[in-house]
Amino acid sequence: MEEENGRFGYNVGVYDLVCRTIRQKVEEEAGKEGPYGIGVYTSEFCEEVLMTAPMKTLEERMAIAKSFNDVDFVFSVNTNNRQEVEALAVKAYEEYLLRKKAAEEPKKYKVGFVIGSFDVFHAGHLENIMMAKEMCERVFVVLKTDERIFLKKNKMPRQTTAERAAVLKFLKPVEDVLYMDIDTTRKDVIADVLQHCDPNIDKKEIVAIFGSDLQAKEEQYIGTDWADISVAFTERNPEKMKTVSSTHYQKICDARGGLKVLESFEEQTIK
Amino acid sequence: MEKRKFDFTIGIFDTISETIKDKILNDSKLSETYGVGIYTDKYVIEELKTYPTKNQNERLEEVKKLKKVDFVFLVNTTEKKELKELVTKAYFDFINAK
Repeated sequence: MEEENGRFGYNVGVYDLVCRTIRQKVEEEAGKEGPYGIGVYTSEFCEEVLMTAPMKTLEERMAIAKSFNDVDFVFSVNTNNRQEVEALAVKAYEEYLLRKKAAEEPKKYKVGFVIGSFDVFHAGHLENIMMAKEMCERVFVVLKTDERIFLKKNKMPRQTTAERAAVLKFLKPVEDVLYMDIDTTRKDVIADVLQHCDPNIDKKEIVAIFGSDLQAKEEQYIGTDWADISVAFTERNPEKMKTVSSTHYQKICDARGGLKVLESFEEQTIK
Repeated sequence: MEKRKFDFTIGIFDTISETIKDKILNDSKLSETYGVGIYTDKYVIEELKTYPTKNQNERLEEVKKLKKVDFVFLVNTTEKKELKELVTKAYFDFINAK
């Protein structure tokens, strides 16, 4: 559905299971000039009006809709009244414009880094990196090596340092991967990051970014081990972390025989 | 309160939850005859943007088994005039078959 003045386009649907026809149709519409949005029917609407109980939650279905090429924004819909749908679409479009404008503002920090194991990379990792990118012009990932992980957890990660680094280096928002070896300290991390920065950079323009679950641990090092750099904490939803976390995915991998088994199964099914 | 001669609902009916079954039971109490329209596969994919796990014939058969459903029919439109024709035809086909 295209606005007469070509402001934006949108369509509305269930987006529970997607097939090639749906993808092609949506991407053909979305690829036309101007921003494009997708309205996703709420689960209650699907059940009460469309008479089908979707298999995925609204959040999951909105994520599916957002993943289509050239889709700029998504919004939930709980009506089939044309005017009400239009109003929802306009509101979502205006919010999209505000986000776009905010993204064009100068970022709060020049350089930021996140530290982690990133073992079995998942959507939660990506979300953290994207949040870092919203705050910083340049983002580095400081990757814990196999040896460091073994020292701390007394077990090897499921993927090697090289495998984990390969995934991270491929990500657009990540400028480079730095390493947290068995003997790397916080001050070493700062020194490594500084090697990639302008020598005249104000240290406060460099930020170490952690999830809120690590706030109690890292706050004590502000001004000491973290020296003059900034430290920021991003919100982590404890409920969401139960299912979007390395521990959760690693348990699934292990229950199915391990990552190598899953990878070989995937290769067989692609053939 | 006098019941209507017939009433109907239209939907996808791919995954039929208890909520949906209850709704049909409750809605059907307001009419003597109750029909259910099932969106065709093409309509579900192209207009409602989801791929049904059961094809339209399977969904038709599932709905036929539901309590209080007297007749079923396929729907591929939301245009009022076309819908009215579909529903009326389905109802009279049911009456004539009785």
